[in-house]
Amino acid sequence: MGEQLDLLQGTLDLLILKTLALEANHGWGIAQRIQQVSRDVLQVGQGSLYPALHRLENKGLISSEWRSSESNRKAKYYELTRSGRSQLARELSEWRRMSGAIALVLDNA
Amino acid sequence: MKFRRIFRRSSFEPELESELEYHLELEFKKNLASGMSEQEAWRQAKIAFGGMEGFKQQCRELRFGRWFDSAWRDILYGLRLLRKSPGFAFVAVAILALSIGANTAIFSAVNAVLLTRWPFPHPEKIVFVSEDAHSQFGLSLTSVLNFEDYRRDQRTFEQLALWIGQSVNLTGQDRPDRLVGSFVTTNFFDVFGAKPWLGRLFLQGEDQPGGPYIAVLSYAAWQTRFGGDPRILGRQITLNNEDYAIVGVLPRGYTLPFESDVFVTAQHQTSYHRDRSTKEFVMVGRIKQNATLAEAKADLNTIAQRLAHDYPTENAGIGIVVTDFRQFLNQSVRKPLLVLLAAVALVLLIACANLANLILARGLQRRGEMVIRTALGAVRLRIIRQLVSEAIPVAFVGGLCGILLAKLLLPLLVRMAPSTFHDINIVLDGRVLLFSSLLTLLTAVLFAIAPAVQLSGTEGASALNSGIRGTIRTSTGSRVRAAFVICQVAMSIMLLVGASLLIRSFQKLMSSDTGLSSDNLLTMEYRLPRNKYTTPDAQAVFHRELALRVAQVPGVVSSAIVQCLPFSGNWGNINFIRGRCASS
Repeated sequence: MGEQLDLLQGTLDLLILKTLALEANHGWGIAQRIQQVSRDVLQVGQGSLYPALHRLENKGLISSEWRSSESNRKAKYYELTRSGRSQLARELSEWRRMSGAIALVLDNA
Repeated sequence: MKFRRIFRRSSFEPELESELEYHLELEFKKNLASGMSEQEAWRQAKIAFGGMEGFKQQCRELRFGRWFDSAWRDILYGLRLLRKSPGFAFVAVAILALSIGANTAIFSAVNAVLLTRWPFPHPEKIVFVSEDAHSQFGLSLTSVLNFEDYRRDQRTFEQLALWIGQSVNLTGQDRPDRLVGSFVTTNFFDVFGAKPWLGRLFLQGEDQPGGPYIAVLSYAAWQTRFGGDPRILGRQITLNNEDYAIVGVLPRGYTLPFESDVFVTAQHQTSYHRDRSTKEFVMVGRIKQNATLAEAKADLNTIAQRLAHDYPTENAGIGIVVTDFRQFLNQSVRKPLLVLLAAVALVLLIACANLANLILARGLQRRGEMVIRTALGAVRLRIIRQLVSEAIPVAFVGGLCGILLAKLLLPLLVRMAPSTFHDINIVLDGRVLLFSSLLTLLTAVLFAIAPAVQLSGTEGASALNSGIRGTIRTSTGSRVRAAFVICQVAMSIMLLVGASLLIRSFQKLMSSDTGLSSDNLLTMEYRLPRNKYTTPDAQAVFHRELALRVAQVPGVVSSAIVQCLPFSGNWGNINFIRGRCASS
């Protein structure tokens, strides 16, 4: 479970960044979106979500802001910063490269 | 951007709380919408959430600046503990104040004397040259003609100059005064690379007999004796009853290297004679960049040998000694100062051991607290960090009191020190304060670390089980405390023995029979201007008159005139001519 968690941690960051690339969202919204788009395969637990969000904010890849939400309550919205955007592009290309390589090995080896 | 978050500490917790609550609400609503009952919806939401504290802690740990946070909390806790035991606090601060104060005071002396930055370029190239290989102080006097031979024939020096210090009478001001004067050759300032602050320095040829009556002032003399007169250049002053025109002022801080008020060219010195038997000057020089002390010595030695051969009566047995001038100036004080520094450092170590012992004793009462902290998840390092942080307020206050103590006592110490220290400006400058602060920090870590390591190694659950209030085995504790006491006793005995030996030596020196009694004895130095009292007879008359008049002052039992006062460090030649009394 430990190693899986490590892999998922880096990937989780990538998923969060991608989700925020479209529009700013709060923590719960991000988790829901990931779950929806992945057709319920990826369910992000709160235990991994919020630490990941704080880590990304520490690195300066996302920024946070308190806004009033749909239910007229104040919620913390996250959005992608400029360095976040370039990091996302970098990680996306890296991910595609890695998964492509792995696919090659699995298909042909 | 990140640093702002250190200061937004107080908003972090409620924000996190609020964010997680919101998430919980939305989860609850989602569950409601999918058809669960209210109760069920809440329960599912909470389960999905997991242990909140767990990842709240994770978020907290990720927060930038948490280190400062916990360290600051520990320090505040330490302060609270101190307030509860004022007796310990007082003793600890007193111990620290005394030891850190002593260290600060001695270090400021070391700083002023041994670590000064001389304002000259390449001070390591400046040397004193002595013609007497066996002289005690590495210094001896040279004659003018010998010097000119050295200067002409040498190949390893950039500059070779003459200097001698002598007091000069300053008259013609509101009251007569004695200034510290220096008689120098014109290239003396080049040895030190000094440039004038006002006016000019001496030009070549001005130090020959018949040369002009000009003087250069030091910055301090210009400010204090002449009130910083803006029109000082060209002003006439009367030194030794002769008129000199001031042509320049040196920059601030150039004491070159003796505290001289006024510089005058060599030929005006009262004993200046162009021969080889009158040895009145000290040779000082700047070696060439690529030459060494040994090369300079060898170079001058060949010339010296030749002089000894050519003029055997005056120059018999001369041998060159070349000394780095800083070494020469510091030689008498270097060792005692370093010994003092070591002694006072030992005192600090003793204080640290003492405090560590005290803290250990107090800490053993807090065993229960440590066990609970460990049970709650504190890592050993964390506990050690906490205990060290608690020691910081004590050290801080102690250090502050120490610095204040040093500042108060420093003038007193300087006055008790030998007179060589009186001219040097010993103050608590930036470097000394930095040293003090670092020392305080180091002390804090030192005296806290041993007890901290000791206390954090708990026996765990067994201590809890046996009841926190009950007596806890302190077997390891007492071994460590015994070790501290042993160290303290050893160091204290060392210091006590050293101190008592020094005191004994001093006592012996003071009580040794010098053959004369110095009770109720007052001495005074004076100099007669040579152009007013030209003949020895005139001088003899003055001396006799002076002795008589002083003897008539009420309260004086008897008076006498002597050329060289015993124990004054002066020496001179007395010529006895059969049938006549000679004086100078």
